[in-house]
Amino acid sequence: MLPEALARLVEQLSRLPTVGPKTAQRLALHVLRMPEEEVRQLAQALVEAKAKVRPCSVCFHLTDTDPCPICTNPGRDPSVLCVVEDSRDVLAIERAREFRGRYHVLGGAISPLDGVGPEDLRIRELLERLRGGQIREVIVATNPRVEGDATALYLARLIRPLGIRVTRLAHGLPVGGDLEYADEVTLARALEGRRDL
Amino acid sequence: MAVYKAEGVVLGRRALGEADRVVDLFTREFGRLRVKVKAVRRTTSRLAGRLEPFTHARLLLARGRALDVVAQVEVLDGYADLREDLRRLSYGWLVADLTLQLVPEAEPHPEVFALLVEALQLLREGDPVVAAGWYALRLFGELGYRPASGRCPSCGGEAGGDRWSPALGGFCCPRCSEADPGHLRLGGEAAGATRFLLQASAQEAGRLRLSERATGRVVAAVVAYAEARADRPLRAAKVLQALDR
Ligand SMILES: [Zn+2]
Ligand SMILES: [Zn+2]
Repeated sequence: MLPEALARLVEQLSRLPTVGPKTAQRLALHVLRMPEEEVRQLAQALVEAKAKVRPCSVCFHLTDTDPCPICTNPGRDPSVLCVVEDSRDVLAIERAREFRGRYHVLGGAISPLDGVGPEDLRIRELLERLRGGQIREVIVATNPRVEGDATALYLARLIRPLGIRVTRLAHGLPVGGDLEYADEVTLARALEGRRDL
Repeated sequence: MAVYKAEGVVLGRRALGEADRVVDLFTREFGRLRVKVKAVRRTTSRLAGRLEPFTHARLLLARGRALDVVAQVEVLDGYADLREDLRRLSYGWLVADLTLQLVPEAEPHPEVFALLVEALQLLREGDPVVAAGWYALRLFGELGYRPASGRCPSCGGEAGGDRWSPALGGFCCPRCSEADPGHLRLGGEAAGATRFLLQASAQEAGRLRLSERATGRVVAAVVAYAEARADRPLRAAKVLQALDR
C-alpha cells in the first residue's frame, strides 16, 4: 500500500496523456527524491502556466501576452497567413525558420465521426481576419490526413470567393528517408506534387 | 506470435497514447474489428498512409493482448480521389458511420463487406448521395431489418404512399403514420427512389438520377431509420448538414 499522499500524486499523474500507472509511479517516486526547492518550482510552474497562458485573441496560438509575440512582431509579413490545426503545429513550423508570415490556429480539423464540424473550429474568426483586407495568401497547413484534407477543401471553398490565394503544403517524402520505404499513398502524392528542376 | 490475414476497409481511427492508433476496420473474413497500429503517428511510419479512412487493403495482423496489432498492410485501393472532393468525402463518412453504428463487432458479414466495397466505388464514380442511400438501405436488409415497402409493418394494410416511419419500420399506412409523430412525408420522387434502392444492385443504383430535393429526403429517411435502429444519433449525419451546402 502506498501512503495516501503518494497515492494521490500517482493518481493525478496517471491522468496525464501517455502516462500509464507504472510511469506515474516512477514519476511520483522521482518527485519524492527531488530537492524540496525544485518540487516547489515544479508546482509553481504548473499553476502559473495554467493561470497565464491563454490563446492569443488574434491567432489563437498559446501565449502569455495578448496579442502574441508573432502577431505583434512588425518583422512578420501580415499579408501571408498560415492556417494550422493546433498550437503544436505553429511550434513545428517555427522550428523550420522558413515561414515569415502569421498564423491562425483552428483548434482541430473536421472529423465527422467524432462529431467535429466546421462550426466547432475557429473558421468564423478566420473569415473575419480575412475580411480585414490585408491578407493576400492563405497557406493551409492542416495535417495530411483525411480530416486535414476535408478541412482544407472546406476552407478553400470559403476563401477563394474572397479573391485571396489559397495554397496547401506540399505532400512529399520525409527528408532523410528512403524512397523504397515510403508507403504508396505518400509516393503517389509526392509524384503528383513534383516540381521542375 | 500468431498472425493471420484479412482483407479490410478502414472506417476510422483514433489516437492511442503518444504514437499509436486504434483503427476501425471492416474485414471480409471477421466483420468489424478494432486493431492497434504501433508508432503510426511518426512520419517515418510506413503504415500511416496505408491506414487512412476508406483504404481497401490486405492486412497481416498479429494476435495481441487487448487488441490485435497490424503487422503489414498492402493497399488494394487507397481511394485517394475521394479525398479531393468534399462532397464524396462527407458521404463516405456517413457510410463509415452507418457501418460503425449498426454492425456489431467481430461478427462475420461477408455480404456487408461486399456492399461496402461496392458503395465506395459508387461514391467515387456516381452521385455520392445516392451511393450512401443505397448502401444504407441494402445494409438494413443484410442486418435483418429491411424497411417495409408494400405492406404497413404495424397493421398489414396498404403502405404504397410516401409515409416513412423509422419507429414502425419503413413505409406505413396513413392511419398508423398518424400515431407516430416522428414519421416523414418523403414525397413521390424520394419514396419511389427509396423503394427502388431497397432492391437495386450497385450498377442499377449508379444509373439513378434524382433531383437535389429528393436525394436530401432519401438521406434524411435512411439517417432517421439508422438512428432508430442504433438508438443514438449518427455523428457524421450532423456534420454532413454543415458540409454539404
Ligand atoms: Zn497571435
Ligand atoms: Zn398501418
